[in-house]
Amino acid sequence: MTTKVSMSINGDPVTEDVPLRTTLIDFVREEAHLTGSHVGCTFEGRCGACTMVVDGHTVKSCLMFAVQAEGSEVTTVEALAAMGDGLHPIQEAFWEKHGLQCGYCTPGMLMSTYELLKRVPDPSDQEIREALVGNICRCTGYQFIVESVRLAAQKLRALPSEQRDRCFPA
Amino acid sequence: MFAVEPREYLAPLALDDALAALERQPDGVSVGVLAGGQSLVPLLRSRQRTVEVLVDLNRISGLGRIDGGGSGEVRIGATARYREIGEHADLDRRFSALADAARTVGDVQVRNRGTIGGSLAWADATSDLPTAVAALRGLVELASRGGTRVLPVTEFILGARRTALCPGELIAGVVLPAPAAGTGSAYQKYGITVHGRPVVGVAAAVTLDPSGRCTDIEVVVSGLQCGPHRAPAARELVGGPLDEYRVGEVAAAVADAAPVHDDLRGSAEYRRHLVSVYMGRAIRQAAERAVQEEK
Repeated sequence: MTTKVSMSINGDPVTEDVPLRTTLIDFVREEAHLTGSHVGCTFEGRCGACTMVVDGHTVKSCLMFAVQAEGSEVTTVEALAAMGDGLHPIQEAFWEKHGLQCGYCTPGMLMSTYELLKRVPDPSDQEIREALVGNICRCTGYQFIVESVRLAAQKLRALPSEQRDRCFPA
Repeated sequence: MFAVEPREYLAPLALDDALAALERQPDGVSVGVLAGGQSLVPLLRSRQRTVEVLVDLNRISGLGRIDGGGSGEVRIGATARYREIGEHADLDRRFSALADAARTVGDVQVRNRGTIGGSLAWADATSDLPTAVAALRGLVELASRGGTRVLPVTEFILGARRTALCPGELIAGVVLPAPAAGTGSAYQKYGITVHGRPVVGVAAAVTLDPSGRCTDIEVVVSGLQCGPHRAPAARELVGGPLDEYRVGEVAAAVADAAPVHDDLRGSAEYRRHLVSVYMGRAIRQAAERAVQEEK
């Protein structure tokens, strides 16, 4: 048996018939064909690679059924680039500071950084690390990721407020 | 892994509709009540639990409201999320132990979804919020088609993952009575990872008179197998000042008597040590806040 589920993903309406047990991450990847968000730990909600913004706040999309996001505004990593000029300042910073190695955790890292920098324009290293507790990276040891977030914050603070607001639409 | 496909998903818009949906289920039908889903969904996906009917409380308007303020009691709706509790100015000021606990659960994503009602209903031994609610002498409102009953949280939670919740009942909210003048509270915990599940956590609420003498104290420990563990021995501190030596002495006595256990996250002996240290920290921080509150 399937249920019709409709939501807005990165501004585009998506409607699909899916089983009730379909999680939001599976809906986004398999139905909307947006494969930027990753599946790491697969069902435990431990790794954070599937982090996306739902109605203004980050969630682990493996711990939500798609049907629960009916009518929601979902923002995934694919939307980030369009908010910036080519790349989002957060993405630029991860690029420049090499805040990744294999890249598997990166979509989740970017979305958690997005939520942090939307609320806290000038976070301390402690605040950065606490904001990323829910995102596991098995390559980097986190140091370059923290540096990337710090640089992203700097880049965003340097922007005129109008342009900065454009970087945080969700 | 995929969860076993539920037969039905219900997302009622009112608490009465949710209660009616529960009542309607024939005996023997397994019902899952979905709040934040941070505990239930992993269980469903790993098939440690299967449900035929899923009742999602997230669309019930007002069920997550936080009401109160001023100097009276505060009522926290069942689906108030950890984030909302941790960011709430009045809870932070007058019911600090709860705000502390809410800010240190899991990680940002978990706090964006997880709810106080879900934490109480699941009653995991290694949870934070029930311990803070107990130290604040909170009450749990249990709604059913027959009406609402109210239980102190210490009578609601019967042990690890055991509660007084009956079939057909839902947690509607939590009531925290107004703290007496000169009261402060705090929650301090140790997890293996930052904000991880407490190996040991301690919530303390203390009331000081203007001379700094302790007139009331409540201490509750989390992370033990029995669930939130009240430490009435902390009442030894009533009647005197909360000086370092006295607090240390009583904390050591509470730790000696605590029903600690060994597991992969810590030995019983280590837990005893943690109870003593974190109880001291929680009481000191609660006392500092009580003094601020008097000013």
